[in-house]
Amino acid sequence: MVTRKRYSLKTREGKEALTGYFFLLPALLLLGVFLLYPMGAAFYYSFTDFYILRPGEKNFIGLENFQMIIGDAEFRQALRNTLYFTFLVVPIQIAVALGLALLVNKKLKLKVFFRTAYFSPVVMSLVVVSILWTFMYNPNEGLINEMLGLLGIPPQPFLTSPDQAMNSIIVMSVWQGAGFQMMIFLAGLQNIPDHLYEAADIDGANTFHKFLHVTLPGLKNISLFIFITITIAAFKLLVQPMIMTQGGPLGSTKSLVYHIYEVGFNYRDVGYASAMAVVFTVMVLTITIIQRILVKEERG
Amino acid sequence: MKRMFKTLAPLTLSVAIMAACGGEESGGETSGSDASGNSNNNADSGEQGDVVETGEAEQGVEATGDESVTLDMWIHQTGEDETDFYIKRIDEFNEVNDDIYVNAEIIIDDGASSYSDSVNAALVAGNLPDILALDGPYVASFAEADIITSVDEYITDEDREDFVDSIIQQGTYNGELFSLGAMEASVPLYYNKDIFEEEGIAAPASIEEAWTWDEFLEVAQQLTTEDRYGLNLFMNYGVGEWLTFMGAPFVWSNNGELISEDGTTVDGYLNSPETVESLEFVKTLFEEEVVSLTPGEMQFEEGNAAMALGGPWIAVSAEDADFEWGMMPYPYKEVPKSPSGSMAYGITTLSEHPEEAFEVMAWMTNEESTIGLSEVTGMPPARHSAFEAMDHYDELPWSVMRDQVTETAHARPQTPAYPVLTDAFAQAFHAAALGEDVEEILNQQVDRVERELRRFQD
Amino acid sequence: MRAMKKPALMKKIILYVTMSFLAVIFLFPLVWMVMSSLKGDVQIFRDMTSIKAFLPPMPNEVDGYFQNYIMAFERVNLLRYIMNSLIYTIGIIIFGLIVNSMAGYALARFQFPLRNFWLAVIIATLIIPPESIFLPLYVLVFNLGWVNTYTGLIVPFIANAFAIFLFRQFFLDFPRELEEAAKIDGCSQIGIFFRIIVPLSKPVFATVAIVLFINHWNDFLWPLVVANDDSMRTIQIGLQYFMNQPPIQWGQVMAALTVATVPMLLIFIFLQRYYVQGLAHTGSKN
Repeated sequence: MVTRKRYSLKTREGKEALTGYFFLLPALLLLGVFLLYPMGAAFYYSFTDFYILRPGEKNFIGLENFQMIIGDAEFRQALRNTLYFTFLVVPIQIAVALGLALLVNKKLKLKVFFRTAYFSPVVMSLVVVSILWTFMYNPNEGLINEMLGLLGIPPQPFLTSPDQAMNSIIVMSVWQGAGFQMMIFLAGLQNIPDHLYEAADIDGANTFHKFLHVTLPGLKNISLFIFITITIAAFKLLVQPMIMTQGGPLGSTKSLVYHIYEVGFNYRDVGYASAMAVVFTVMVLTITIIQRILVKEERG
Repeated sequence: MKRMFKTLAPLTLSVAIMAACGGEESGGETSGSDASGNSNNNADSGEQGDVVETGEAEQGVEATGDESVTLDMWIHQTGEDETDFYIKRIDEFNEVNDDIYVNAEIIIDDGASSYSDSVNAALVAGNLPDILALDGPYVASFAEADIITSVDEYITDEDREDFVDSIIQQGTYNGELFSLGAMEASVPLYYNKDIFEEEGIAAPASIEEAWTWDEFLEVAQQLTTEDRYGLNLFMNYGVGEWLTFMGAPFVWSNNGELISEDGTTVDGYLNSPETVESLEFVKTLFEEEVVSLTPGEMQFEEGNAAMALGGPWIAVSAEDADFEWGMMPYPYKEVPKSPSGSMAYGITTLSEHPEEAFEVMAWMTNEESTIGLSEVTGMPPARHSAFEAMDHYDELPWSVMRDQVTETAHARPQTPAYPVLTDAFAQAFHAAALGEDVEEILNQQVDRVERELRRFQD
Repeated sequence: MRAMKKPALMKKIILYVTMSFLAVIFLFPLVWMVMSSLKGDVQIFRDMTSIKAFLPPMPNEVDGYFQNYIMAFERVNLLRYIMNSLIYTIGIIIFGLIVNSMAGYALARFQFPLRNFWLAVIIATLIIPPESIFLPLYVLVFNLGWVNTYTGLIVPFIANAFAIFLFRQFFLDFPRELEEAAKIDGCSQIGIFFRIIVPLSKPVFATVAIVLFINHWNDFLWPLVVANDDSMRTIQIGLQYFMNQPPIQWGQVMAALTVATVPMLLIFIFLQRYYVQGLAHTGSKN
């Protein structure tokens, strides 16, 4: 429920609202033209039979595209795969990223080196590391099986097995992406005032207590940000399966966005792809709103 | 050419760089902008600086005076030598022709979809050039959607007959010819001569001697050892166009088809007993472990596979490696068939000068262009006269490739549903390689393709 | 005190060992890329299966260490492409920092009608797959006449939902007291934002700069389709060139990749210095 307020330019609220919009307006205008307008177009297409090769004839077909989603077995499989990926990647990656951030936030020599090292997979771009890991996951002559061999573990099929392919992609994704969230956590850690730690020291708190009672609360808003953006990013899984498995074997790594991409790109069915994109966006937005309700923000 | 098939393979960086920033797709424009896009088309595209790369040719323009027609042309950028050759030929065309000036733009083709994305975007914005390069199996889609125009009225019978059948087949939709290409492609069965000698196996040297599937399997088994596979099918290219290009002849040579002759249905074709049997044979190859699901990039060149069903580019890399190699014809069941198809040119319906555009198309696919392109790329030419003019096609190993192109080449299906059909077949082929139930998978894929075909049934 | 020292030292050693081990795990692809860029193609694949993949080639194994680099720069005008990428990436960063930080601040601080609605809209724009809006966006930019211009590369990407959201979350954590004090001193809102908030938010500005840089440095399809003139080409399109020349020269690919990656690492290292001067330290003094 929104409380009704009267906004008049003379009141304090009125002035604040005006200032608020002044700050927001440039971004809003740009987003409106270059994102919301195209989004509106995509929304409109989702009710049409827009086919790329016939851009002139977009017939309104009502909910037909949306009804098609219900009977689309590939969509269902892609949804299952995407949920599996998201539910595993999100908690693991947040934990790894936070761990790394705490490590490199210490006052250490070589701090910049370590930060840069952990961050480097992010810089290398998902494409490059996907190619590299595909080589490494090769069941016959890949580096990982060579190393497992040293430990006496038999060679694994990895990307060529419907059972292992998605897990292999998850491991790589965490490794590749954690440095990114580490950097954001790190920036968040800088925002926690030193005096809180000093106060905790005086109270005789140990490291764990300080983490629990100073660090975590201080990271609350940024954690919410990371939680939400990492979930969104996980739902948008595309590059890894595209490069590493082409969605296979047997569709076990086909993600939702990959399916949308294929239908729109390769099969040129913009109408249907748009409908799936609409469903996708509404679905993830709902999850995001639930996340925001679950984790309450704090205001400074 | 090679990267055309490596579409989504791990080795192609591009795909994902593109994906990372957002690809094409869902958009399009409302009717208003179509109109403005179209009407501005010719004026705009000249000013946009799309000019590029034809270098010296610009002098040609100044020399011509105001009577000349300017044509925009899009070419996919592929191999360095190949692209340089296109540019050279266009420059020459501009020098020779006073009244036509070709304004060529080279667009990076990452083998996935960056070129077709550029085309799609331009198509939706109404900004297509007069003449453009497009991949063979996509001619039907473009023709069906009235994006490219028939060239029947421009081409002479004599000229038409000089092209190999598969190129005409590839460029024909509903009985009309829409496109011509300068090069062909094929997949011979490469073999390692040293290994064959050791094992005392004689390689067939002509189509007549080609192995049947049974002979093929038997030899592959004999050649497979502890540390060597009998065969390489380049499964490392990923689940993409390669599997259809390389794999469909198994179906055709078993008297099977991927789609009905009139192009209206795949039920009873893609899942016919013949198709099932072909993929069962593929499944056997993998079950017998004569071929690897995850071959290394250079498996054949390094001697870790005794034979390979690979594209013409394998001849190039095999030549670089230090061993004796040869080509054999593609093995068959009932009738010898071999893969075919490559990039071709189409003239857009937007063009105000289709006749002049055809002159460019004819120039880019004439005997001289065909021979020159074949020389720089190693791909077989698209014309009989070019084969006659190039001596090395008279002898082994290249005579095998020539015979395949001129005698057994079979174009991929000409249907606007091709993008879905090829994925369906590739999926089924890959499932067979994984040892899945071939018939069940094919039936699932039939449903997908049928759904897509319904789009074109009015 | 002295008794404390031993476990402290132990702890430090464990810490360093752990961190070094992690560094190895995270660094190896970078090392592989750089080392491969010094090798010939045959050797790259031969070394792939062993630890040699991460070691430089022996002097007797290569003609010259930088052969691939020389060849790469000869084949493609990489410098020009890097310049283009820098121009448009930096353009996006400069405008993006201003526009998005202001928006984030508005959403964090001010009460105004539809505030939560706009926040939801901004998050929604973060969710939609960019592929879904590619075509309408292209048509729009085409009709604006921005094809083959830096404008077409920069303007559509200035406003960035991720950056706005990140700024907002940071500004939420800001103690209001500072602003209240400034207000009493007669500072305007704009003055408060640019003179007080911005200087105290270096870590988040640095973070957003890094995010924007990485995103747009790695852009491929948009620059390709919108700026297809050779003089406008960006580094990723230059990279693509090497991936497209069969047979692929892997050594040159690795050299080009290294050339394309180094700027990002340098920017990251450079922006590190802003990670220590946040509000925390200023705040604790007050």
